[in-house]
Amino acid sequence: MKRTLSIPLYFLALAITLLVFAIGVYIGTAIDTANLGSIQRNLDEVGSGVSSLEFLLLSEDPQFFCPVYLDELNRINTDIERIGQRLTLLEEEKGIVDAELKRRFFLLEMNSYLLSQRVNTQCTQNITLIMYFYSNQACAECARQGVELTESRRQAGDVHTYAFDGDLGSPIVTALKDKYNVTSYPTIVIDDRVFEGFVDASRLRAEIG
Amino acid sequence: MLSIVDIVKYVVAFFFLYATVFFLLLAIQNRHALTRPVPDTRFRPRITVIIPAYNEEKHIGRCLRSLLDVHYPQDKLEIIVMDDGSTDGTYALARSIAKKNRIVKVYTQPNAGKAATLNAGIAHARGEIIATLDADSYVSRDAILKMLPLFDSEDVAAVTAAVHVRPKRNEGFLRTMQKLEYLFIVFSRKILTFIDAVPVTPGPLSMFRAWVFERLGPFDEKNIMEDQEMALRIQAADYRIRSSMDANVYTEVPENFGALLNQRVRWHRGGLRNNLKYLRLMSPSYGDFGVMMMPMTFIALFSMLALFVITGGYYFSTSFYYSTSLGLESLLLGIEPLHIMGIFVMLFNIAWVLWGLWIFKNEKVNPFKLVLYLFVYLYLITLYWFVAILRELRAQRLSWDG
Repeated sequence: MKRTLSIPLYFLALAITLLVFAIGVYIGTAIDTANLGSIQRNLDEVGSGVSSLEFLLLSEDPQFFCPVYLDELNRINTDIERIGQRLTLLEEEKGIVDAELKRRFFLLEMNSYLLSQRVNTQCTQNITLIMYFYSNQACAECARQGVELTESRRQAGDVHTYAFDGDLGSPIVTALKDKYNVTSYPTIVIDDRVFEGFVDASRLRAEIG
Repeated sequence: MLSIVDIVKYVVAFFFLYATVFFLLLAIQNRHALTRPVPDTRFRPRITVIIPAYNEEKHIGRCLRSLLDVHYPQDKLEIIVMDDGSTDGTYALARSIAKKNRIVKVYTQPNAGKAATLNAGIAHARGEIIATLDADSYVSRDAILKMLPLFDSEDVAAVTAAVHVRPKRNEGFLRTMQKLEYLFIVFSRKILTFIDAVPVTPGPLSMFRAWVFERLGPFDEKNIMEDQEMALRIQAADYRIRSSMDANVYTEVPENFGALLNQRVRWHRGGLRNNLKYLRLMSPSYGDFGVMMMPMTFIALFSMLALFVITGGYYFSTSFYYSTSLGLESLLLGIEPLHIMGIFVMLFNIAWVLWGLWIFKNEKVNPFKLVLYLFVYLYLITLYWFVAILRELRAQRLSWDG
């Protein structure tokens, strides 16, 4: 028999495949844009929540409002953690880094950290505050440390974790790194005590108490 | 920035999607031919059916009875049971049937393997058309009459039957899955006919013009997938292989997972070796067979793995960690163009399967089992390839145990 090639089919299949690929790129990009927009809106909402709480703390009888502070603080921290997870997922899985969003996020984390410190003092609470400095570029242990921290925090209860990307050069993170003399990653600060290098789950639990 | 792994994933996804689209378009282009009945050409040659049998005491009777009942002039039918040194009652049973039916002839030989047994049978055959029929299979009464019209030109060297799983009461999970699988293979093989790219003349039932064995030689006795090797040899010689969708033959299939794994590993290892042996066919001078079908065999090495990576497994595993805190949102956040391509591949596959089911309207298929087939059973091919390649790398002897 005489062999033939179904040339029109090859070209039509190529056109459809390219079209599907283009649809994929379009949907992927649209979803990324929508996600970044949604994260931005969340940052705004949580930011206004933090501001409201700061005003409440300036009131004449802050102790009276302690249950409200604690409740609001928990909500803010849950929201912050969620935003952090979304930013990490976008960064780790898709390589999307929005420096401005991350700068605003770290600022928000810092605000929340300071708020938690004040609530601890004014409401005689014992919330453990953990700062976690990581790097996405030169840190083999950071991913594992992140998982251990999340797990330990979930098990321990009254613990708030704030993760800071040390590579980004954000002013607030640079200031914190200077304050705690952070020179390598991962570095963890638990209630002002500094731990350099990977800290395993059992030691984390012991330090958190 | 895309990493090398990302680029490989996209390239595999692109080719897989391309192949899926190509075959779907091919099916659409030939949609009318799929359902059009094949007119009878009144071609009634002398046919020799060769049944190689090794320890088939349980099945040989049913196989022979189905052939004796077949709609075909008895004076033009010759049945040869070629016993391959069975240690059970296969030979005696076949002999007792032969005593009552003069068209049945029974020969025996010391155990030599299936290909050698087929060749020994061919040496006794006097038919113009030679059919090979597995002893654990049986044919529908109109199978021969449905296959013969497909020898519609002199360059058609072989015609394959529609192989189905033998119906059984209380079919278990594996049997149902294989039943669906065999249906879609029949459908796919028919589509391949339109570009003369059928890559196998399956053992359960295939018909050959007798000159195939004179011109191209006998079955390769060292080959464990002799039916595929013969098809590739026919393709290499530029003859046609046609496939029937309604000449039914019913065959036994593995009942447990271990047996299924061994069978599939044997198919994949034998198939891989045959495709490497005929690598020269991967060329535009062999038309669509060389450009589309031959590469598909090698792409199939990655196909299900690719589908797994592109869609389900990879997608859910990367999103799993985040899903503990982000819930379903993590699925949406992680979507990439690669996943969209995977979803389209999946949709095209579903379309293919539904079309196949529509063609075989008479088959009642439980939708739940169809979902299991699409999303669980199909992925097993990745395991088959993995074990097959592992055994090839360890240079493990290829036998009927895989």
